Amino acid sequence: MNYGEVFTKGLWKDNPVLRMMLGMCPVLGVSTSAINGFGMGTATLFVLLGSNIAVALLKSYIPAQVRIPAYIIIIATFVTVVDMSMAAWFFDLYLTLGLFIPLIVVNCIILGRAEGFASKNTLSASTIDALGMGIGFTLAITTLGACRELLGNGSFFDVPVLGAWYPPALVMVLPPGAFIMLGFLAAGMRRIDFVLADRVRAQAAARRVQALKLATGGAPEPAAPGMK
Amino acid sequence: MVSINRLVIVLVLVAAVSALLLAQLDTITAPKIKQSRIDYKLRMVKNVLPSYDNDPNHDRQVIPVEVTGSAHVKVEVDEGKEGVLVYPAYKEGKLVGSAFAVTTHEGYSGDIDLLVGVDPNGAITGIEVINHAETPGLGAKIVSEHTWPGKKELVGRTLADSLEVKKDGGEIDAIAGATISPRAVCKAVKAGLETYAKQLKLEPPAPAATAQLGAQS
Repeated sequence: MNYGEVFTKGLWKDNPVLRMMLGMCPVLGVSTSAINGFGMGTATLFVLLGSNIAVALLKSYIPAQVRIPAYIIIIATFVTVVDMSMAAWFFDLYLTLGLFIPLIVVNCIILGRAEGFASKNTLSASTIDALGMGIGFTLAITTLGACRELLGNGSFFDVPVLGAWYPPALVMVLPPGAFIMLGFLAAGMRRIDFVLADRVRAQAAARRVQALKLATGGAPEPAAPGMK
Repeated sequence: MVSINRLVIVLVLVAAVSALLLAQLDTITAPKIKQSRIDYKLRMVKNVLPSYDNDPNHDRQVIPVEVTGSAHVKVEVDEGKEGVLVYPAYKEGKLVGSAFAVTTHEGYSGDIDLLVGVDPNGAITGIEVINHAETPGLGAKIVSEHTWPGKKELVGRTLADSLEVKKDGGEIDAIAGATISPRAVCKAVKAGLETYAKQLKLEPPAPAATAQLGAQS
C-alpha cells in the first residue's frame, strides 16, 4: 500500500468536507470563525485517530454482526475523552466549543473511516488514513471559518484586518453563509483540478507533436521501404 | 454463523473497557473541571462587584427563591441547599455590593446565564455573560463591552431607570442584526433587580463580624 497516497487523498482528492461532503453538521454549524473551525477540526482529528487505531486493532475480534454498535461505543468513548480533557485543561476553548463536541459522535466521517477503511486495513495504514482525513477536515473547516469570519466580521483569527471601510456581510456568519461559502470553496477546488488537468493534457499534446516532428524530421520517409 | 453468545460477550467487553477508561478519566478530570468552573465564575464575580476586602466565595449565601417566567434569578444547589447563590462584597465591614446569577430562556439559541452585581441601593455595578450559545459574530457580541456598548450602559442603572433596548423604546444600545440577544440580557437583568429588591437584600453587618460577635457571647 502506498502510504503517501493514503495520506494525501484526505487532503485533496477525497477531502471529507469539500469532496465527500461528509460531516456537514459540525462543518456548517461551527465554522463561524477560523478559531472555532480549527478547534473543532483538531478535536475531530483526535477522535478520528483514536477510533481508527482502536478499530484497526480490534477488527479481527469484532464479529461483523455487532461491528456498528461496537464502533459507535469506541467513537463515543473517544469523544467523551476529548470532551472531558478539553473541559479540564482548555476551559476557555471549551466555553466556545463545548456545545459541539458531543456532535462529533454522529460525524459520519468518523464512522465512515472506521467502517470503510480501518476495519479492512492494517494499523499503520489506518493511522495514516486518520491523519490525512483529520488534517484534510481541519484544513477545510478552518478555511471555511476563516473566509466566513473575514467576510462576515472583517477579522482573521479574532484579529480585525479589514478596516472600518468594510461593511461586514452579516449573512456570512449566519447559517446561509455557511452553505454559500462551502459552495464557492468546493467549486474553487474543482476549478483548480480542471486547470491542472488541462495543463497536463496540453503538455502531453505538446510532447506528442514534438515526438512526431522528431520522428518525421530526423528520419525522412521511414515507412517508405515497407510501403513498396 | 457466529454464536449469539460471542456477539454478546464482545459487545459487553467493548462497553466494559470503555466504561472503565471513562471512569478513570473522570476521576482525574472531574475535580479540575469543577475547579475551572468555580474559578471562571469567581473571576466574573470579581468583574461585576465594586472593590471589596472580603472573600465573596467564602461569604456566599444560599437564599431560597420561587422562580417563574422565562427570565429569572438562577437557582442552584450549593452544599445541599437549593436557592440563589449570592456573593456579597464587603468593604470595612459594610456591604458594598452583591453578585448573583440570572438566567433567561429568551436567547436566540439556548439559555443565557448572566452574573449581575448590584449595590445596596439597587444600582447595577456590573454584568457578565457566563454561559450562552448565541451566534458567534452576532448575538455573541453581548459578552464584551467592546462589541456591545449596552453592557456598559447598564452599569449604574436601577429599576427606576430605563432597562430596555432602544428598539423597545428604552435607552440601551442593541446590536445591528441581533436585537434578540441584548433584549434578552436586559430583561434578565431587570428580572434579577426585581428579585434582588424583594428577596435578596443581605443584612449588614458582614458575616465575619457576626462570627466575632458570636464567639464573644
